[in-house]
Amino acid sequence: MATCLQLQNLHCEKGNQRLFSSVDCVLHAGELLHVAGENGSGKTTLLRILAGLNRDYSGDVLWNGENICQQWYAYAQDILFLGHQPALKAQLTARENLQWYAHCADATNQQVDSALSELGLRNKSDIPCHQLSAGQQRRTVLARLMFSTHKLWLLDEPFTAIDAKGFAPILQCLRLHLERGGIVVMTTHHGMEKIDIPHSTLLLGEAIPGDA
Amino acid sequence: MSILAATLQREWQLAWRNLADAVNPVAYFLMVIALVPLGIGTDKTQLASIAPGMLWVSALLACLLSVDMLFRRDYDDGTLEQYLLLPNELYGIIWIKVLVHWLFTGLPLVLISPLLGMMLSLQPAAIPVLMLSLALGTISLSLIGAIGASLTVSLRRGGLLIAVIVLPLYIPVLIFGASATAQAVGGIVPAGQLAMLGAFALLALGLSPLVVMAGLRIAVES
Repeated sequence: MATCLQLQNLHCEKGNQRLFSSVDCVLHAGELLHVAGENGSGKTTLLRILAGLNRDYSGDVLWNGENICQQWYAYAQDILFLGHQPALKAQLTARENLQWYAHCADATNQQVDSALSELGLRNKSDIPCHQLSAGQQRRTVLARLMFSTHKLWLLDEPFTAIDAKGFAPILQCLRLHLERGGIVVMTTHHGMEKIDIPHSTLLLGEAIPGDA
Repeated sequence: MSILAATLQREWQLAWRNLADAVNPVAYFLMVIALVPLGIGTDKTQLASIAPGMLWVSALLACLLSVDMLFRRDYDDGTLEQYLLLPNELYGIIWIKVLVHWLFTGLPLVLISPLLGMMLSLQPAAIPVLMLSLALGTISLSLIGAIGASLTVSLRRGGLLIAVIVLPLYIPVLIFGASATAQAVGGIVPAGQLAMLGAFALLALGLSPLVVMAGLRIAVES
């Protein structure tokens, strides 16, 4: 079956409060879904459900037609999840951080170097991450996209603290990923109007469930 | 290079750059043993009689002190989430993390123990057994401690809770470790106790990562 992500009647509660219910959505290869909604409407929770990091929900998430809980080992190899926290080691340099992720994605050290220079971090790559600015750290995190071979990208606020100059290569990278038949699910509070990629929007926290 | 080899290299680098973490348990061990003669008196026979127990109890508490940090940073910076997304490698990653942790906290305790044994007038003949029992014992202590660390990592103040969870499991290791050392003082080779300590270590090496995996999943999902 072709690459396909389906959300069926997803319902999630947090501390007795309903976050979202009856979320239905189908995404095929090459599609980008923008998850929108107010603060606290459950965008991050939805992404964590898709990443298998939150199992406290009802409904089904199907990947290529099969429930992700039943094929967790196979599904986990297909997803790249960039969460709120950067998942960078403050004491390691940007290059050292990325090299570990490159090993996990079967990428080479040359790919790490080219990703770093594409994002303008070439001469910062040997400085410990805690000395980098917030934007530079975010760029380092996003450099993982450059050598990722995962089919499904789950990006939670990827553009926080990113300036216009860092934006362009990431956008190019997203476009390339979609052309290759990847799927992207992302949340962002700003910049969606700057993203000139056709996308569908899923609005959370409203009575009407969003359509895809 | 496989993911596990890359993880080993990364954990090794991180351990060197966070070397202050490794100093704490050793300093604690050293301080307790240095204070004992001041509190109890310098009677050599008295010190020698309490030495095996004193050394083992303080080494155990030093281990307990260090284990809280095992997954704390990974949890705070989001690395733990990325680990959970590598389900095929998770067992190995946890194993490597605990192993490197032991190399930087348990092993220094073993290496410094002859000196501290001498400070408590422990018979020189018992020192090899002390080191061997501590080496086997601290491996178990690190692996058992990892279980407590995984269950409390999502709590801001897990310090006391981790002790409550882990101390009952530490007690068998303490009993066999201290009695092995005490027997060696009497000139008997404590083969049985050392075999038990080895068995504990092997059991913990195999099973503890499985429990830690479940604990970390709970911590990240909550």
